[in-house]
Amino acid sequence: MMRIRHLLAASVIAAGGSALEAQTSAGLDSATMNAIAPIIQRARASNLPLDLLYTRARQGQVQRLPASRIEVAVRNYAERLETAQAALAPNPTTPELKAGVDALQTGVPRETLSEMRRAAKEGSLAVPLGILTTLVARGVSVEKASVQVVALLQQGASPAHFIALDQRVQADVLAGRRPDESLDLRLKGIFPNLPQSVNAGDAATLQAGGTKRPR
Amino acid sequence: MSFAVLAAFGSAGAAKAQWARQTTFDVGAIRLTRDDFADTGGLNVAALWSRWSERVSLVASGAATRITDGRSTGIVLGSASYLVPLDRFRFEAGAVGNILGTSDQGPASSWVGFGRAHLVSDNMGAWIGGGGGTVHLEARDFGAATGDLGVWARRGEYRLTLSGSSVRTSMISTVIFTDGTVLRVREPVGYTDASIVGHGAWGRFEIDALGLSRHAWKGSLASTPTAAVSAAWWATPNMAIAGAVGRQLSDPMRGTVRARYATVALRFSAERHGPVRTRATPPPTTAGAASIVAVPADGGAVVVRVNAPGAQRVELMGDLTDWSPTPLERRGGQWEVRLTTTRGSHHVMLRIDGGAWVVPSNLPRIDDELGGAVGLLVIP
Repeated sequence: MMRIRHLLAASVIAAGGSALEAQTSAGLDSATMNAIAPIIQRARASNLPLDLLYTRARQGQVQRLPASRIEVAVRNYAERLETAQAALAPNPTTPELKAGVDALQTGVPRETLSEMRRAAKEGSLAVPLGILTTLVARGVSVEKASVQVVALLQQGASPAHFIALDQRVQADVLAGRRPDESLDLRLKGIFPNLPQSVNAGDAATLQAGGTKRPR
Repeated sequence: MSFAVLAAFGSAGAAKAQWARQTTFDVGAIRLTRDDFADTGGLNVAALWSRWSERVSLVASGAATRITDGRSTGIVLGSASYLVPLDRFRFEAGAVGNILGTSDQGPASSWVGFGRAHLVSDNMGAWIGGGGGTVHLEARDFGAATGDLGVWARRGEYRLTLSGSSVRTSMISTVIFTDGTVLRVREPVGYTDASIVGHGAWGRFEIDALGLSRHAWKGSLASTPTAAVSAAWWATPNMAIAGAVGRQLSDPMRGTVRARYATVALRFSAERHGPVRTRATPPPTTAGAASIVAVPADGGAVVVRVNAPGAQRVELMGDLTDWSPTPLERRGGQWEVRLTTTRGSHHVMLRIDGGAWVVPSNLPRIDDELGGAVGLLVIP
């Protein structure tokens, strides 16, 4: 009897999963579905969030790209997704994976993602990863942005701190300041206000010695 | 209440609870020809103080004339009213009064309470109303009843008002008997004025014109048409050269008599006039000029706001809309859409007025590996 109940429960879960997948893949034409089917199959086996892959495929379809091109984009995305999943282990959320994929795409090393996971402990990395990517896309060097974002997490920076940092850097860059210089400047206003703050000198020491520099 | 003022309510609606104002002071010369006077000239000063909001209207004005033969005339008018808006209707109640004094006669005055119902849309309206009060002339008091209706329309700096008003009251008439005896007797009068009033402004120049036809249906008042025109040219934002010419009919409610007049004056205003120096209409938002922010809202939702000056249509597309074009709603000077999505980073693009999909100007661009770029929006 217990076994039947388990089978029923598994069937319900499986049915739910299929329904969700059908929903997220809705709108994709058969050519695209066929092209990405092997990628989806592998992603399912790796327990990757399939909706991110379907969304990627839908973006290509909206742009009326050929299925072959969409397939390449989805495959690249799935590979980075798998990398992000491993780097953000043990239990990355879908928003974290999504932000991690973007970070990897802009050149952030996977080791930085792992360091961020360790530094954030239980906190979500969705916003910090997003801001890391943003900083790099605005022109801050990958190495500097990575070190500083990890340092911010180690000192208990909240998503609001990261958002504020990005806004200030954006304003500085628009005003003509060099992105790296702007980041250094703006961090001086943030570090002293963090929950586990140390003074600016200690923060520099912490960043240099306490954090493994990304390769 | 002046219906030019009421016409201004359409635009005042955009600034609820704010007071519009008009404060002017005229000083100049007048040429006056009354039926019982020879042509006279003199000095004329006039002032207007007006404040109105969506519900309240206050007007006070006065004028004083000293003519060359040494006689002087002064008149003070005031009105106050309160409107209750109800959908497209405005229900108004108020009172108007005036006092007229001349150096060779006793003062005359009138006090009238009134009520009106207005139907108002953005650029046109209509009203109907009536009132009653007293008229005080030569130490006697008479009753007075009024009724009026009209329509007005406005387009930009141009206004046109068509109205009809009826008055039933009494005035003092002079009866001269053959033996030379002169009697001042009460004479009931009734008349209806149909008028058309226009106002226009072109840069520094503004003009008002009145055409009126009186039909007197009781008493000895003449049934006659009349017209008047006044204009002002604002030499500076606060000073104008103003002039007026026309013919006023006798007004038993105010105690004024029929006369032709021409005036020229310097007008000083506490408010700025003439060409309004507003910022130029923002040019249509060019590709990539629009900026975007996302703020958390209640219930786990986020509100995405787009600043796209001059845009007529704004659409958002990205992973947070499942790559479906989603139109935003105009809210004040910005465009908004409320979405349920996750915190973190999202890929977005904007389309302005049906043009090409572009990356919002304030977002960093990242390669979408599909041959283009997307904006990276981080939702806190």
